[in-house]
Amino acid sequence: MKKIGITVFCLYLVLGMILTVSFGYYSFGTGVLDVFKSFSDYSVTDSIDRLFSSVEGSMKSDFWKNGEYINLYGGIQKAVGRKVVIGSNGTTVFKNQENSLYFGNVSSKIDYSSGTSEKVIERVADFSAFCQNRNVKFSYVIAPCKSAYLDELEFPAVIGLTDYTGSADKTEEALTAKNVPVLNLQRMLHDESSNYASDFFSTDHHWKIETAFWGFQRIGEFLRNDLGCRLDSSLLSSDNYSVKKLKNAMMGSEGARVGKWYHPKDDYALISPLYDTALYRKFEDGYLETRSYEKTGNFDEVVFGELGKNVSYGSYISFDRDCIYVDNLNNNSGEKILLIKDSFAIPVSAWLSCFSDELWIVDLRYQQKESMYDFIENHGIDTVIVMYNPQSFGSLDSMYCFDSVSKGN
Amino acid sequence: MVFSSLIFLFAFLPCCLIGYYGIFRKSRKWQNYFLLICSLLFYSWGGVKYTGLILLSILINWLMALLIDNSGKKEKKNEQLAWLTIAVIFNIALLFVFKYVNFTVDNLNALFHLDIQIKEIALPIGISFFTFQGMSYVIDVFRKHGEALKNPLEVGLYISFFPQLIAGPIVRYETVADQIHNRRETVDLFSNGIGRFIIGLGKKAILANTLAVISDQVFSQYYTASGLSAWLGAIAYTLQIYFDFSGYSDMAIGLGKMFGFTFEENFDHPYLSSSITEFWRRWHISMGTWFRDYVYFPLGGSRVSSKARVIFNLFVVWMLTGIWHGANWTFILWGMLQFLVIFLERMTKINKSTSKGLRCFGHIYSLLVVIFGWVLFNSASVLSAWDYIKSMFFVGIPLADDYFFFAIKENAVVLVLSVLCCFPLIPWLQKNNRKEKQWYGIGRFVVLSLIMVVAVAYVVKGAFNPFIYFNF
Repeated sequence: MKKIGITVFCLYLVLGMILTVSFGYYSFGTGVLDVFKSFSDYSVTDSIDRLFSSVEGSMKSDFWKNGEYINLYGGIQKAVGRKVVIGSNGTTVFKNQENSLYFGNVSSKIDYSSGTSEKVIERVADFSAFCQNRNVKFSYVIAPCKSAYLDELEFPAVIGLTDYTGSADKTEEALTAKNVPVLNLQRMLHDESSNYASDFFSTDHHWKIETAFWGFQRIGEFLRNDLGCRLDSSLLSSDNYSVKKLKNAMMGSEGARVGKWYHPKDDYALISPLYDTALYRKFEDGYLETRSYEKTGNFDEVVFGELGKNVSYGSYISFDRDCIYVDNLNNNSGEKILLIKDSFAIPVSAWLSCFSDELWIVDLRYQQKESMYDFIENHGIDTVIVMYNPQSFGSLDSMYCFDSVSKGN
Repeated sequence: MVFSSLIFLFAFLPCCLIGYYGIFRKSRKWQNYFLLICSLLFYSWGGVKYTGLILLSILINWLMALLIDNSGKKEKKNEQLAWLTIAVIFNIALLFVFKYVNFTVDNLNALFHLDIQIKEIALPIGISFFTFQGMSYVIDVFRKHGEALKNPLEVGLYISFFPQLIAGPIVRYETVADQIHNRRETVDLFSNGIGRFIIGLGKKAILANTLAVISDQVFSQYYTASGLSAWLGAIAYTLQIYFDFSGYSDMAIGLGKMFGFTFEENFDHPYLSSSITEFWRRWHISMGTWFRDYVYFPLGGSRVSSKARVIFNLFVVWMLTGIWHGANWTFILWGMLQFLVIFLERMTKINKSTSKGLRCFGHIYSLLVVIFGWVLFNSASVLSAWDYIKSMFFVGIPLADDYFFFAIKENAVVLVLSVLCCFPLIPWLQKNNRKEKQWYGIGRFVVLSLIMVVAVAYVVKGAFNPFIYFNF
């Protein structure tokens, strides 16, 4: 029995090592390359320390069967009845009475005092003025945030969260006072929905795909009716779209930290146009050298591509990237839209691409080549939509660097 | 690098085992050199710049031991003593510069209204342990409890061997001198080593890290905590530090066994003690015996003519013990608390009582002294420790709060499990299963496998979980 034990133990460690390096070779390799590329910028001891950090970091992120171990950990937490779980990477996830997961902390109260940032208001107002001076239509869209209207829900008394209701409403008020066209989807969703919290994934901080589609419809109406955009209103009708529900398919950002045995996956909706579509999508990516990724096809082929068994929030078109360009080959109206966004606009951008002639989807956290002022001039943009959720307000400088190139986060 | 990390478990350790039992299996010399290289890599992982320090420590201690041995052979006692003094001063100076100089300067500035400015010196990991091992080496050579090693690489292996380099146990040279060349790796020893390692990993990753969430939460917000929350935080820390430190020692001892080394035990269920004197024979045993053999006995111990001298000797030992733990008045006061209680126990002879009632009282008061001591130990300052302790006596605060009930409900299972694990379950199991060896073997395999997998799950989810005694 002892020899069996020794063999099993050694095999477990050795196999864990081999499989991790085999499946994670790209992460290990790029990390090591990164260190060698910048070797001359650091001292020898610092370079060695960076090498060790890189290897350790790759080990943590690409450990073989990472997900299964997190599932096991989550299962144990559920078995012992925990409502608050320190998930992977030390983030705290807790489950409220409605069985939805939230990021938070163990504190004494929920903070309802969120406000807005004068600097943000000023930058958005300046950007709006720049656009309007060039006859470019501008709108600021406030995406709804899961951490809002929390007084309508039940939480353990010791949970600390920030409620972003005030942040959205105060930003809308401040921007409207500066003549910036604002669409506060958070307030509108709360007014129209019977249960605001259920419009969001239970394992993720984002809105559900169905809710995002509702948001797309409101944005489309706003662009047409309030800003006068040349867009086909029939394309906003739900009758022109099919909905396919993938059961138990998506594990969101909160759920991924505690595993499916703590909380089951969310259902995920694939909402596709029933009308004919032809899209050309392009973005650039690459570590060692930048490559261009292009695809032409109908909506499902371009937007969903090869969907695996498990989907993610970014399965519509792509995760956040510096710039994605989509040309609607069936639309020659000439309506060119620039969408400056955070992750909440990912599914919205997919349907918006069928609504416009050309669509640029820019994420300023990653886009560091061109200022948005220059971008508008260089690409002949007709309409600019800035779409952020309230948690982004004022928290990241780069997201509001419209007139210059920021250095990122 | 910590033992409870993926890089150690699934990269460093398997590579060490493959190298030791595979590539270098035919040569004890090369096995030792290989272990030395692994140990230096292990140490460097935490910061390459400090590797030079440990190499310097190895070199000086090696040289001093040779000089001591050489002088001893020539029967030049005074010369021998001089080399020993230089070696001890070097090790203490190293420790002082990197651990205590900032604290000393701050206190001198405060006491004498000076304005001495020095750069903040970072504390190299494990310096308290490897300097003590270095001193143990030269002192044991001086006392002829072990031979001076001609090969500096072997001294390097003794001082820097990775299982006990960062957080002990403090391995005295005389206990391992022979094992450097003459150890024997066996299936039994390796198997016991694995079991010990897994138990230690479970204690650290599953119990200590979970308890840390409670103690960190309460200690960081003690000024708003209720009395019961303060007690909960203190008890959680009491359990956390035990499982953290004894878990690390178990892993260190287990790893030593995997490579054929047998280290002495470092913990023996200390929370079952019926006196503080007994507690210190069960807690961090290697440190206690180090101070006993290298400080207390040379001062005369208890075998001195006057009681005052015994008290003085005890005072010195506990003052140094407190100081060793950290450069903060909290640690010094904590050491003094141990001295005071041990002194009172000696005076009243309560620790030697055979009365059941007194022994029961002894268990309770020992636990209370330990718990209050840990509050002092874990506090950032004496003032915050005092405020925390006042909370434990419900001075001006409510009895309970939402956090207390919430934490009890959330952590009931881990708290009960932790308390149970303070008892000698494994020796009890072993004792009661002697006749059912086969089932015991299968059961052991299954339980250890489960603990290993669960502990790895906890390690995977945690990004950063350093050991408490890492700060030493």
